[in-house]
Amino acid sequence: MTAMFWRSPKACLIAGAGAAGIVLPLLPVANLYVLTVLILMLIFIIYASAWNLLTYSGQGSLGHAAFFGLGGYASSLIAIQSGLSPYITIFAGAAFSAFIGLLIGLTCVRLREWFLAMVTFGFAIIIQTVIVSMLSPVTGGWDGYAVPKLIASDIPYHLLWEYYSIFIIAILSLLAIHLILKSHIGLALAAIRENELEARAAGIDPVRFKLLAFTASAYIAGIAGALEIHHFGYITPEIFGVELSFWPVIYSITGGLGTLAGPVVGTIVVSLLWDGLNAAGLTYERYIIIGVLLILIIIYLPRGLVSLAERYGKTEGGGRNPR
Amino acid sequence: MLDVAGLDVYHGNLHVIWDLSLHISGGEIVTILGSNGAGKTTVVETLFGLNTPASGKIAFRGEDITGLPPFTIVPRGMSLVPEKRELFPKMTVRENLELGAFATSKETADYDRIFSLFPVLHEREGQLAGTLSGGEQQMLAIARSLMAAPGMLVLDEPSLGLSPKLVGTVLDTIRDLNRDGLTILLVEQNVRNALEISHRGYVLENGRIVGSGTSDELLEDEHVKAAYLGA
Repeated sequence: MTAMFWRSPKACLIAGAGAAGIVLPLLPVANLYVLTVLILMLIFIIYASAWNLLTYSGQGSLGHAAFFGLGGYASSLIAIQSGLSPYITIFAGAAFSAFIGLLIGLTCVRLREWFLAMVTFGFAIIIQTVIVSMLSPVTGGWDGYAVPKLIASDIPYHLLWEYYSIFIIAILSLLAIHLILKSHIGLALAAIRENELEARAAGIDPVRFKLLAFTASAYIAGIAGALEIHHFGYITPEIFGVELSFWPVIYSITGGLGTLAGPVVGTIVVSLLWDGLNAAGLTYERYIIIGVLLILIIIYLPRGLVSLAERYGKTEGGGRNPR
Repeated sequence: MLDVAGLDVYHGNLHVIWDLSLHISGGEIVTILGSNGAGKTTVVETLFGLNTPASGKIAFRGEDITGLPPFTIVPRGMSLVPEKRELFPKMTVRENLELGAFATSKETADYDRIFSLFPVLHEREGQLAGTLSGGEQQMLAIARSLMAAPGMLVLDEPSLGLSPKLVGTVLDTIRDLNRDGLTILLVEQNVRNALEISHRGYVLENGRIVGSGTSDELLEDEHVKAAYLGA
């Protein structure tokens, strides 16, 4: 079994991607700019994967920035108040994000996909408003505040250490999502997505499992948000912006909805393109280019870039992932 | 095994099931006959908690299950084979079977028994359910509900859309399962075939039970003959 696994093309790809992730920042090309790009890429891989976990259960969100941002605010406030290391507060902040996710979930898990998505969209705006206005004594309103860096910038090679610690957290997040989806929970989520009435008849409680997916997704998105602000060392309410809600959607659709590799591939390809076009001087044109790319992918590759591998490689499609 | 007394069900303001009572003893095959729109599927959905009755009582194995959520019914030993053999088409045969045993924990999952009953499913274990033929899908739907090791199986129109030969195969399977001790509630508009394997039947018209009796009695009944057997 193990021997077969290591010979499969899928395993080679995973091992190759992991090796690239380890070696890349050590190459001579990896200056501070490249390292920053790679770090943000990892953060968005975590974030997009969290969003994608939600779609696996047939739910959708257009306001995931709410959880991304809440993770950031909660983690940084805890870090500042308690003096704990960001490495600890990241997970506490994410727990807060998950708790709010659970509350939103409770009010609207009964809504179908895009109705739920609209509620989450509104919710991200509400949170941003609350942070800016009512909570401004703590949050500094639109100005934001400085937060402790993940690794202080006076430590030698701090960006490199930061990269590797975020790399490990990304791997652990993907592993956690993989284990959830492979377990009986993943089976139930897929069944709910495929046919909710039928899932109920088979004895599955959709509300419970949807809430679980919602909460887990909010937790992981919260981790990503906390990592981002502890990387920048600063937080402002712009973290709740519409763009931040839409990036995980774009990444996941480009890579392939409902697959583990989809958000990873999508994030790498789109964010490289995004930064590459900017570097090439196409700062505004890139919106159009990415938009056209998205349209083409939805039309010609509805299951995303990862379906190319299935089409041309020998990786067999599992039963329950693609949608 | 199952006792239903004075059941009334509404869809919004529409009164669809009127004062329905029926009884099924352990080891029986009982058919509810009725044409399209008689309320057959509504009755089935209400048994499984997918509809809430306005009044009446449903008791299974002596316990009141009226209004309980669906996911608590299956573990009590009553499984549903839904209308149009609704499966999870984009999931594999194996995953569909796993889902059948979902509510009852893994101990009931007896794949050996299922595969000896339905060898074709063993051959197609890794295939997507949506790619099976109609007859195979019906077999999978039945197999899936058996994964919960139920004491009673409710089948909603298992013959729908199947060729006459496959209808025979499906009904033979149901009869074999009954001989192994499974209680069966069959809901059918394929009246003759259903009654031939049943012990008793109820006739459902416009949401009301208008007649009942043993299968032989019903097959000889003038009203049943005229309305359902085309004689």
